[in-house]
Amino acid sequence: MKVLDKNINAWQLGIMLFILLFANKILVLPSLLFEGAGLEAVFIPVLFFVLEMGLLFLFYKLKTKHPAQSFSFLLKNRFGTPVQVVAFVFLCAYFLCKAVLLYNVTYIFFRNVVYKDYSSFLFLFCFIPIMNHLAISGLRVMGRTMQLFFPFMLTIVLFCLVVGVFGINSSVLMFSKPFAEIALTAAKHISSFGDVVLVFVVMHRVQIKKGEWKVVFSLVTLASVLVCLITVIFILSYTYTAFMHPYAIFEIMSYVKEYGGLGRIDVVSMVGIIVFAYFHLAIYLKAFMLCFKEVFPKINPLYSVLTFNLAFLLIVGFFILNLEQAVSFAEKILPYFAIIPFGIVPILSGLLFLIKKRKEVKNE
Amino acid sequence: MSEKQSKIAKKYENFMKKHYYLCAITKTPMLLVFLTIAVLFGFKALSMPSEVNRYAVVTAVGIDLSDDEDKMYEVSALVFVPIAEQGFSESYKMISSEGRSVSEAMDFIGLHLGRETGLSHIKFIVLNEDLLMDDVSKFLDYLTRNIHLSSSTKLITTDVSAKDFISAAQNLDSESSIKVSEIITYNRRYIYATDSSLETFFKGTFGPTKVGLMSKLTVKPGEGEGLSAAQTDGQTASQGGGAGGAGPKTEIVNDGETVVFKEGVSKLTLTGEQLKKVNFVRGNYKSGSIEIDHVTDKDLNDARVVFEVFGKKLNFKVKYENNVPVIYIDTSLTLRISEVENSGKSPQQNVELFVITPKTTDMIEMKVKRSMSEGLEIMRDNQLDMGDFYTMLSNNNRKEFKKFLETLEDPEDYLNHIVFKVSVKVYSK
Repeated sequence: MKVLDKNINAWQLGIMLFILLFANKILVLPSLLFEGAGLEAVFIPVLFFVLEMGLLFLFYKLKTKHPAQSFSFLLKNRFGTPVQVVAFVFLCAYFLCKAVLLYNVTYIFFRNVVYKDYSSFLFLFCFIPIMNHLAISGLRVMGRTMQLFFPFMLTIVLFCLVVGVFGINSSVLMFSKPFAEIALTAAKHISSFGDVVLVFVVMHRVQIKKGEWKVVFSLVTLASVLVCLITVIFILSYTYTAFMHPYAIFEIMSYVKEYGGLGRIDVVSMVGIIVFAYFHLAIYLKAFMLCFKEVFPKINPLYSVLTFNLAFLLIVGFFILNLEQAVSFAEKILPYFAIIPFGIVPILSGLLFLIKKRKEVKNE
Repeated sequence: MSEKQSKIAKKYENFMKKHYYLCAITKTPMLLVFLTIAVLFGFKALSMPSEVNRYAVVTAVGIDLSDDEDKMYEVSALVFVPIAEQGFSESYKMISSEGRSVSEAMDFIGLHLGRETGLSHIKFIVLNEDLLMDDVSKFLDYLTRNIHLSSSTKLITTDVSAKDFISAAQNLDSESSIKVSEIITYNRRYIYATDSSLETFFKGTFGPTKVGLMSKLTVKPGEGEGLSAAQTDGQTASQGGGAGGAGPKTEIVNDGETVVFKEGVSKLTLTGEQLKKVNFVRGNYKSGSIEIDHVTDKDLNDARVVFEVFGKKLNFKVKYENNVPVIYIDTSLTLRISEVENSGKSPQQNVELFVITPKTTDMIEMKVKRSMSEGLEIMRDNQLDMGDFYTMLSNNNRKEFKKFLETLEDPEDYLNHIVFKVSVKVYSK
C-alpha cells in the first residue's frame, strides 16, 4: 500500500476547510457555550471564526509569496531544524487530540441515541478503516471524494437550519452574564476552533490559480456562517434548557420533530453527522501524516498511520470513556493546544515575513 | 533476490492465479473492511433477541409518595404490550412498584415485567399533588436524564393518586382513540394556550422568572363531565362525554386547571377562567372565546354573544417614568362571532355579514381590559411573573431595570411596582 499525495486545487481545499470548520462545533459545543456564556455565547464562534479568517489571510499572503514551498521548508530555512521539528511535533499532537475529541463526542452521541449496546471498539470498526483508507489514498482522492459529497452535505446542513428555524419560539435574557464569564467560556472552548491551521500543513500540496482564492475564502465564510447559525438556532430553540440537550444539530431537528409532528426528521441530521465525522477524522489523520513526515522524513509514511491509530486507540480506550471525560478533556487539556493555531503558527508566519524583509534590507 | 525468495514469490503468484477472486480483496481493501464489519455486526445482531421481546414500551409514568417509610416513591407505569394478531388493537398494562428513588422503582418495574423499560414512547408523566410541595425537578430528574425521553412529553398533576390516574388512562388508551396526552394538546392549542410539557416547564423553571406551569387533571366517578372509560371483565369501553359504557366508570376531567410553580415548588392553582385572564397578557395565543352579555343593537335584543378569538397580537412598549418602568400593552384582537343567544328570536342574517357594532366593540374592549387587569393582579398578588416581564424589561434597558430593582426593598416583588397601561383594539374577522 502506497501513500499517494497529489496536489489539490482551490475547490478541493475550500471544501476540505468547509467540512473541517464543522468539526467539534455542531454537537456539544453550542450547549456548553450557552451554559457558560448565556445568549452571548453566539458571539464566541463569531469571534473565533474572525481569528480563523485572519489565519487564512496570513496563509494567503505566505502562499502568494512562496507558491511552491512548504511551510516546513520555510521554517527550516529561516529558523533551523529544531524550530521546524518542534512546530510540527506540536501540530501532530494538536491534530491527534482534535481527532480524539471528535471521535468521542460522535461515538457518545450515537451510543446514546442509537447504538446503546455497542462498545467504543466495535464502533471504531466503522470508522478506522475508512479513515485510514481515505488518508492513505492521498489528498487529491480525499478532496475529490469530499467534492462529490459536498452538495449532499450542504443540503443536509441547510435543511437542518431551515427546519430548525421553525423551532425558535422564545425570548431569552440578553447580557445576563458578566464579561469575565464569557471570556472564560471562550478560553475553555478555544480548542474547538483553529482548524484552518490545516492549510499550513498542506501548503506545498495546494495549487491555486490567480483569482481562485475567492473560492477558498467564500467556502470558509459559508461554513463559518452556517456553524454560527446552528449555534443561534439551537440556543434560541432551547434557551434555558440548552444544557439538557447536548447534541445541537440533532436537537434542533428533534425539537421540530416533537412539536411539529414531522416524524423521524432528526434522522437527516444523523446522516449528516456520520458523513462529517468520517471526513473530519480522515482530514485529521492526513494532517497528522503530513506533520509526522516532516518530523521523521526518512520513515515510511505508513508508520505515521500506525502511530496515529495506536495513540488514538490508547487515548480513546483508556482516558476518555464518557461524555463527561470528553468534555473535561476538551475544557482542561485541549485549550493549551490552541496555542498552536492561534499562537505559534501565526507568530512564526509573521516572523517569516519580517525576517525576509530584514535580509532584503541587508542584501540591498 | 535469493533463490528461496524467488520461489516464495512464484508460489504466491501461482496461488493468486488459482484463487483470482482474492485479487478483488487485495485490490479493494474496502471490500475487506465491509466484510469484516458485516461479520462483526451481523453476528452480534443475529444473536440478539428482537427489541419487541427485550423492551416493555412505557407510554405513561405516574409518581406518588409511598406510604412505606423505607421506600420513598411509588412509580406506576402504563406499559404497551405488543400482541401478534390479525386485527389492530392496543393492549396496555399498568405496573406499579416502590423504591427509594424513581430509578430504583423503575428497575423493579422492569423486574416485574421481565423486560427493560423503554422510555422513548412516554406520552405523559403524572405527579401526585402531594409531591408538588417540594421541588418537583428532583422527582423528574431520572426521567429528564434519559436522552430517549421526548422533551415534548406532557407533564400533568392530579389530585388523586398518580396510580389511579394511570389506571383510568389505561382504560382510555386501550380502547379509545382519544389519549390523555391529546387532551392536553387540545388544551394548549385551542382553549387555554398552556403547553404543559417537560420542555416548557423546565424552560420556565430555569428561566429568569423561575415560573413553570403544569396542567392539572382530575379523575372522578363517571358523571359525564370528562373523558370516561369503563372496565368490564377485562374488556374496556370508552367514549367522550361519558355517555355510555358498561360497568363502573371513571372520568379524566380537564377543566383547564393549571398549577403554577416557582423554583419548582407549587405556588398557586389557577382555574380555567383565571388562566384565560392571565393568558390575555401572556402572548399571542389565538385561543379561547369571549362572551358578552346584554348586547342590544338593531339586530339583537339583550343578547348573549360569544366571540371566537381568531387572532391576538400583543405589542409591548416600555418607558421609564421616575425610574419606574411603565409597560404599555397594546392588544389587537381579531374576533369572529361564533354564537348568538338572542332573547327575542334568532337574528336571521347571513353569519358572514354579521358585523360587530361599535357599541359591542366597546363592550368587548372593556371586558378584555378588565380580564387583563385581573390577570395582572393574579400575577402581582402571587409574585408570579407568568408573562416573563423580567426578560422584557431587562432586554429593553438593562441599566435602568437594574437601577429600578435596586430601589426595591424586595427585588423579587418587582411586579407590584411596575405600572401597566393597557389598550385594546377589536377587529372583526
